[in-house]
Parts: sequence; structure tokens; C-alpha cells
Amino acid sequence: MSGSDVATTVFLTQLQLVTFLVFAPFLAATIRITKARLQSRRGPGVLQPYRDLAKWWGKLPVESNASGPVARYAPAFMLGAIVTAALLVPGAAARAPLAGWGDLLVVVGLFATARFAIALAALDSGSAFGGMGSSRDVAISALAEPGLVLALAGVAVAAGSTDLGTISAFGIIHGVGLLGPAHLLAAAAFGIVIIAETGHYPVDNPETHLELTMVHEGMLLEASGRSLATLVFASELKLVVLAALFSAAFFPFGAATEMAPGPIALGLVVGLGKMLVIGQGLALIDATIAKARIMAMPDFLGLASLLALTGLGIRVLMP
Amino acid sequence: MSNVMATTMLSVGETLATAVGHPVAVSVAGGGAAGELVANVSPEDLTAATGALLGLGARHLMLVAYDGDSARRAGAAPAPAPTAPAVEEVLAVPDGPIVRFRVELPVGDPAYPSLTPLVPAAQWDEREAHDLYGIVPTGHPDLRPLVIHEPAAPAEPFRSFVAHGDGVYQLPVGPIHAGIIEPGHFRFSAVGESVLYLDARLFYTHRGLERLVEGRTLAEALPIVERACGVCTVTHATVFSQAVEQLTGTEPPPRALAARVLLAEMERLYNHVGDLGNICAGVGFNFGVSRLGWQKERLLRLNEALTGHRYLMGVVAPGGLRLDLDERGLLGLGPLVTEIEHEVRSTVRLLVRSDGFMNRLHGTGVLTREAALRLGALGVAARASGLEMDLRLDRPAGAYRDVYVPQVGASAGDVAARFHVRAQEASGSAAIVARLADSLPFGDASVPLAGDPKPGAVALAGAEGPRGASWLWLMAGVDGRVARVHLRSASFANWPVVASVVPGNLVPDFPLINKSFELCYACTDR
Repeated sequence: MSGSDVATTVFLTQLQLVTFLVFAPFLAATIRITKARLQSRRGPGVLQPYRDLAKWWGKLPVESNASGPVARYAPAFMLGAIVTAALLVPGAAARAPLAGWGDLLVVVGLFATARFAIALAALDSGSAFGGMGSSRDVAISALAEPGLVLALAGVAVAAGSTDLGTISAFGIIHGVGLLGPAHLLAAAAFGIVIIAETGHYPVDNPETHLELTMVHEGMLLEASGRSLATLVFASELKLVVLAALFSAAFFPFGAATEMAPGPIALGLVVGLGKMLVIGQGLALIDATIAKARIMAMPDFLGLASLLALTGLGIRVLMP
Repeated sequence: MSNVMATTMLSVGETLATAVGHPVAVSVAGGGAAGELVANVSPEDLTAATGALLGLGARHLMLVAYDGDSARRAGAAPAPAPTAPAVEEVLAVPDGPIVRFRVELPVGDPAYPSLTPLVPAAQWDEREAHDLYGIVPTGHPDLRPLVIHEPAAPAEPFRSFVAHGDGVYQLPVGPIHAGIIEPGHFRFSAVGESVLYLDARLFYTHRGLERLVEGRTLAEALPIVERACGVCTVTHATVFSQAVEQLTGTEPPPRALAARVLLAEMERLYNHVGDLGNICAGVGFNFGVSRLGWQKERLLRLNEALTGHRYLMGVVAPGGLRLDLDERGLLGLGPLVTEIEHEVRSTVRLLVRSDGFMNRLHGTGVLTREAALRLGALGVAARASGLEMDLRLDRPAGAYRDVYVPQVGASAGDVAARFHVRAQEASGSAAIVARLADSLPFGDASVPLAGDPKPGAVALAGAEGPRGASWLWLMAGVDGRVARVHLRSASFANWPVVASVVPGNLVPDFPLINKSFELCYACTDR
């Protein structure tokens, strides 16, 4: 590794870390605001998620008698996994900040690790809702994972590599020519996976107060103070990382291919813009459909697997 | 006494005599106008007598308990007299009279054979009488505490009924919830996401309102009865007023009677519109929640313009209205309510077209006609399960005799059926309001009471509220005071029904099922 490579890595890592961490609550705020407007409500301000996090961070967690060290340390573990994943996904450039340290399979594995941590924390709290939320969340993720892996496998096969930087660069070179049926099917599958992984309609209602219907919120019910701040922030960051992964793998246009300040700045702006668009899409879906029965999840997420598999089949059989 | 009542009295008397094996004295209560009969029966004969009326198709209305203290307040017993408790089982014969079986119980051993095995709808009435009056319905299948959670013997704490077996887990919910709603504890026994059994424990908002009004004047009692809950105020004030008017022989002026119907329909309308929105909230359908919530708010503002109170409190009173309706509020009421109804109907039409939404409603929380009848379901719940049951049509009181009330019903008994029945009833209520707003009779809004009620006299009044028929039993005391009042709200009748409907459904569908019944906790707990 040459000296300039190290400098690039350090620079991109710092840039991506700061922008993603700062941007995550903002993205959550824009989704909430759009949803509120679509429901004829004024909605909270852009700064509300930051204020919430600051408020929780200033409080010590209240732990139930039944909970042990797992509930205490799992939130940090989850956040660590998501932050690591954030540095393995290309953001501003067609190169992940920590390129070479892990490919897309590592990113998928880190998501699974994060989910494992939060599910364990919820179970450890000893509340019935935590257990219920965990079991539902793990079931949903098990159903969503094939779609996630197959959709990414499609682009990996096309680019001939599982390295996300290579996939991005491949996409930028091919431009519009990339948008064949195989690619679009995989992108659609990945869209469904984003919905399931981030707990949006029709899979989960992120704003519900009905305990019995909760999935993600159920796991957070017993969390408080710093633990809650960590878990909520990790979830907000996860949406940013998934959105970055989506654009890097499927719509990488705008990302910098040369390591110069100008293209990187442009790539950053375009990348964040794409995330906002994805967020608005989620808000639109949230506001216009009803939540589906939990027993309909195999069908819905099976659809993602089917789309991704079809895309992969087209790519393998008709290269 | 009319000839019809005399004939009914004789035929009921004969039926009862055949059932219990000896003559039963039946008398007409309330001057016969209310179509009400009273019979004193012994504790041993109660089951047979009730069974005989069930044979005529009678339905359980309420079981009210009272004791010597009530009698003393009614001036019927001298101060240090032994306090003999009593229960009254009240049943309604369809197209026939209301029959009250008065059962006086021995002082030291206030027990009688339980009616619950015969009349499952009486299960909570008997548990309440057991908790509050120490009256023992022997043979009751479930005499756990209902109202008073901490029993006299701490060795037997309140226990939830749960299912046992491999993979069965318990899910306790409430009484403190994640959202701001009324308190209730629900103990689910579930396997995976399927509910095997649900035990509901309510009465966390038991304020002892019935005891609170005892010994107070009728004027003092009214606001307390009215506030049993915040969203059935017209219904509760109306049943109380009707009972007082029966006892005093007061006939409210036509304007007041018509205004009561208008207010009752406004109450039904804003409740139904809100409930339709709540059903949307049960499946997280934000579109319906916000559209219908907005229309409900508009209705509440119309209420305020009309009466000065968004939830219509302090308007209905014995003798008519405490306050006449605001003329300016009345002026634009008809067209505004019609416009709101159009908005609601167009929203409902859009909701029904959403497959994802209707998919959640169809087949969820099915209440069969047979179960509805057996458990004594009332109101929308009964009508959505194929029972034709609406006090406005069955026993019209006041101006309901002159108002066209459309008959609404469905047979599927699921959440979708209750959704449709609510939507249609909302339209019917809006039509009644619009018509009455333009044709409200002129004149006085109230008359003074014709006199003090006779001590010890009992009156029974019912009204079809947004959640079904609420019945009020009132015993007058000396000096125009209340000896005993019992309010059996529609929510009280329907809660055991909700609990019975849930098994077999998915755990996350419970909020939806619950919202499709949309019951109050406060007027159940009192």
C-alpha cells in the first residue's frame, strides 16, 4: 500500500464517518416530516431526532431486574457493527473507505450481527414484548436475507467481483447500459429488503403505540437512556448504510472515480441526495398503505427472493 | 293500566306459575306506560322463572344488587333494621314487557343459585354483585374478583386464567400501555402468533360512582352519572333523566325530546367516525386515521357551537334540557353535518377499495350470531353478527317514536362487518341530525319536575348509545334523593364478548379486533 493509498483511506474514512453519522438523524427527520405532511399534520422539526438522541444520551438507562450484562452492552455492539458496515460501503467515491477489508458478504454479515445483538438485548430485558419483537424481527430477517444476498449476487456476477468498489466502478463505466431487466429485478428485490430491514410498511409500523403489533419498537420498549439512544441511532444509521449500499450496487452514478476533492465533493452530494430520495419513497409507502398481517410476510419477502433469483438467472443464462 | 298490559301481565303470570309450580304475583310497574312488570320470586325459584322467560325469547338486561342501606335511604326500613340484601334480574321479552324479578335474600346468608350457567350474559353482573355486595351466586363458574382486585382473603390473590401446554406462553399487556389509552390488563395465552385464550381484567378506573350518588339529590346525581365516561355522556344523561321523569311523572316538552334525539345522534356520529378512524389505526393505515380524525374534530367543534361542550356534557337534564341548543349553532348544522357525512363516506369508499386494508378486516375477530346471542352482545357488535337489536327501533323512547331510523345490519360478524355497520349507521345518524336541525319544535326546552319521586319506587330506562343499549336502574329515596342507581353500559355487556372472540386470531390482530368493538373502560368500571 503506497503512501497516497493510506492517505486516501484515512481521508475517505473520516469523511464518510462524519457525514454518515451526522446525516442519519436528518434522514430519519425528513421521512417523519414527509409522513406528517401526507397526513395533513405539521410534523416535528428537522432537529427533533437530534434532540431526542441528546435527551436520551444524557440519561442513565433504567434496567429491569431480569436483565443482565447482555442488555447493557448489546446496544454498543450493535452500533459498532453498523458503523463498521458503514465504512465498508462506498459513499462519495466508487471505493469503500476501508476497501479491501471486507466485501459485500461481510456487510451482510455485519447486519446479521447487529440484528443478533439487538434481539439478544430485547430477550435479556425479560419483557414479553421484547421476546415477541425479537422473534418477529429474526423471522422477518431470515425471510429477507435470501433476497438481500441474491440481489447483491446478481450485480456481483455482472461485475465479476464481490468488492463493492469494483461493483460501483463497473456500474459507472456501463452507465445506462446497466439498466437491463436482470439489474432492475435485483434492484426491486433490494428495495423490498430495505423496507423489511428498516421496519417500514407493510412489514412494520415504526410509529405504533400498539404493543402487540410491534416488531422493531417491541425490542426497544425496555430500553432507556443511553441504551435507547444507541439503539435508535444505530437503526437510523442502518437506513443510511442500506441506502448507500443500494446506490453503490445498483445506481452508482455520480460517485467519484478519481480521488480528487472536486469529484469527491460532488459524489458526496449526489450520494446523500439519493438517500433522501429513498427516504421519501419509504415515507410515501408508509402513508398510503396499511400494514400487512405478519403471516403475509413469507409471501412479501418471498417475492423479493423470487425477483432477485429471476434477475440472477437472467444474468447467468443470458450474459 | 291498558288492556294490553293487563293481558301481558296475566300471560306472563301464567308462564311463571307453570315454570315454578305455584302462582307468582306479577304486578305492573311504572303505571304500565313503560311496559314493565315486577314479580317477587324466592331465590330457589329465580332460575326456573328466568328459564321460563328465556323460553319466550327474553334477553338479559341487567342484574342489580342492593342492600338494606339502599332500603333505608329509600325510607323503607327504620334506622337500625337488619340489612336484607336483594337482587333484581331484569329481562326484556322481545315485542313484550320488561320483567323484573325481585329476589330478597336472607340477611346472614345472601346466596341464590347463579343464573350464569343459564344466562352467560349475566356472568359479570353476578361477579360485580359478589364483589360489591357480598351476594353469593352459588354455582357461578368463575367467581374471581372482578371489580375489587384485592380480595378480602389475601391468600387468594387475583389470578388470570391461562392455557397450559408445550410452547404456550403468556403475554401480559397493560394496564399501563405504550400509548395513552384507558387501563386494562389482558393476559394472552399464545402459541407463536396464535391466541389460545384471553383473560381480560378491567375495573382499574372503578371510582365507586354508584355508591357516590347514593343519598344525593337527583340534581347532584346527574353530573356524576353523566360523567361515568367521557364519550357516552348524552346516553347516560338521557337514561338518568328518563328514569327520573318516570318516577316523577314528568313529561318533557317536544323541543327537549327532539333535541335529545339530535344530541344522541351527534354523539353516535362523532363516536362512529372516530371509531372508523381507530379501526384504521388498528392496522396502521395512516390515510384513514388522519382523514377520519379530521372529520371527527369537525363534529366536536359543531358540538361545541351547539352546546358549548365538545363532548355534549351538561345539556340533557331531567325535565328536558338544562340549556337550550344554541340558535346560531343550530343554524348551519344540517348542511355541515351532511357535508361531513359526504367526506366520511368518500373516505370509507376509498378505504374499502384498498385491498391491503380490507384484507386485514375480513375474517378477523369473528363473532358468531349464536355467541352474540348467548353472551348478550349489544349495539354494533350484535348488529354486525346478524342480530336485529336497536333500542331506537325496538323500544323507541321520546322523539324516536317520530323519527325514521334506518335498520342497519350485517351477518359476517368480523371486523369488516362491524366496520360497514358503523359506516352505515354514521350516515343514518347524519341524516337524522340534518332533518331535526331544520325541524326542531319551538317552545320551552324544559319543564320543572312534576314532584318528588315516591320513596322506594324504581324506574328503569334504556337508550341506544354509540356502543349499544345502556340501561339505568334507579331507586328513589326520601326527600327526592337517590337510594340506589345502577348503570349497565353497553361496554359492560360487550367486554366479555371481546375476550371470547379473540382466541384463534393472531396476537397482533387484537388491537384491531378491540378497536372494532371500541368499548369504553370508564363506563364499564364506573
